[in-house]
Amino acid sequence: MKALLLKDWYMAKKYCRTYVLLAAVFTAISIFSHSYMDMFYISYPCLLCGMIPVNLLSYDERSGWIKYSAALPYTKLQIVSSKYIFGILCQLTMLIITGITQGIKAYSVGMFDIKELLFIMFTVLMISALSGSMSLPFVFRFGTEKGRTVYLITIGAICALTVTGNTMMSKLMLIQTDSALLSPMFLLIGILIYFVSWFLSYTFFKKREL
Amino acid sequence: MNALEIKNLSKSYKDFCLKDLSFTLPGGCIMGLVGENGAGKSTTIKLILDIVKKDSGSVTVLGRDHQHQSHLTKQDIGVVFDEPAFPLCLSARQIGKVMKLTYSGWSNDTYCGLLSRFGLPLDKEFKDFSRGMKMKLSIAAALSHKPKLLLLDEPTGGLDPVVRDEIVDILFDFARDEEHSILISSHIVSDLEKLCDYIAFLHKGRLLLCDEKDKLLSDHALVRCSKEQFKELPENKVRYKKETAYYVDAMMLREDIPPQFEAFPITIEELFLFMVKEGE
Repeated sequence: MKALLLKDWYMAKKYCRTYVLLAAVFTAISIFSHSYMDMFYISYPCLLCGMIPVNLLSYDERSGWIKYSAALPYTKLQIVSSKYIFGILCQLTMLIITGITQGIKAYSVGMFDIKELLFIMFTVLMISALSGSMSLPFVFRFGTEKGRTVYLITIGAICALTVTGNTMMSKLMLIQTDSALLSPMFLLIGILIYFVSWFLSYTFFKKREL
Repeated sequence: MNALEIKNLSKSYKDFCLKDLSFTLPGGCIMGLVGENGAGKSTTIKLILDIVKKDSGSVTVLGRDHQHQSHLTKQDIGVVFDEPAFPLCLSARQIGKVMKLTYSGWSNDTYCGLLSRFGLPLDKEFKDFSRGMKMKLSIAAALSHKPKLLLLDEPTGGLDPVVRDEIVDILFDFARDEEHSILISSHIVSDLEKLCDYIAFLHKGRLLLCDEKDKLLSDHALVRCSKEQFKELPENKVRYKKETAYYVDAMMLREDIPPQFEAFPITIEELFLFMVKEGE
């Protein structure tokens, strides 16, 4: 497992520089945006991080590593899990950065509220959990080429969800919904999405002939 | 202990079928899988590694069923595929670090020694390597964790004779240890003839023959004669004949050749070609 994570780290350093740049730009926009808690700019960097495992998997397939790794002493569970763990690590790192930057922004304008901040973070976690989790099982099942179609549909669905989420959140703010209740719910949904996706990916990949 | 025991192994695809494959690779030996493109060589290696699922039959690798805790068995196997498949952006140094965490028996000294012997740069990305360099790196990685069995799928395909010779030398060195075995597939029969103790002929998913190389070469022989002389040969003993405008070549078991005929030694390549044509 450590070997697979190290390999993914080397690959991410090489192939995902654009992601880091984009994440930095969107985080900067979210900081300097006059609109308080603009969910699109806040969630997009985390959403990008969720796409990193799918991206790495497509590079693995292109280089033939997927087939080769099946000949090495890794289990299929380890191969699948490494992608999810790497994705979680990327997303959590980005989530922490988001939390810190949004916290500082809120504090600087005198609107810091820990419950609201956690609410934002867990909402972002839920949305970003969707990004990779929806396409990974299909990519593990059908390979990158066919999985790419699903990937594009996923992006469209997530964009729609982000917009809906933004609207819903504005409404929730208006009706003063208790964020203390919503936060753990979003956290649970995010975790649930991850585990269902993980399970599906493993089930599909176990049966796949390389 | 046998390195490999394969019994009645079968696998069907829509347009190809590997049927009832059975052979044994004794420990400390090298076996060559000879066959044309699409004969089933790669499928056999993938089935041994459980990368593709068998339909029926049994595979025992180093005394263990190949599907039982296969990741543990793979610690003792070195694998090289026809297309070297490391992530393209990784350097040989990074690949070494990944492999160190992959194999419990990984030896960095062995790996660096092989890289140096092959003249491979440590920090160049894999994608910038030539095909020969990629194959050498794959072989270095496959040999650096003290494997007991090497599974090599067309490791010399598409390489120039100098590199092929280097690779054959490395494999010879590996096979000197009595515990080390190699199953190597290739359609470059001359490489296998140099290297192997056993030869298995695969043709259209069927095993035509599997025997010791020396026995095959000593048992079979070639008779070159005129068309008139050919009529004197016992027809039922001629395994295959090839007619040209000037002579007839007949492949026969050496013991069946009448004393008045001169028996010429046959090469593994000729034997394979004759057997394929006989099968057709």
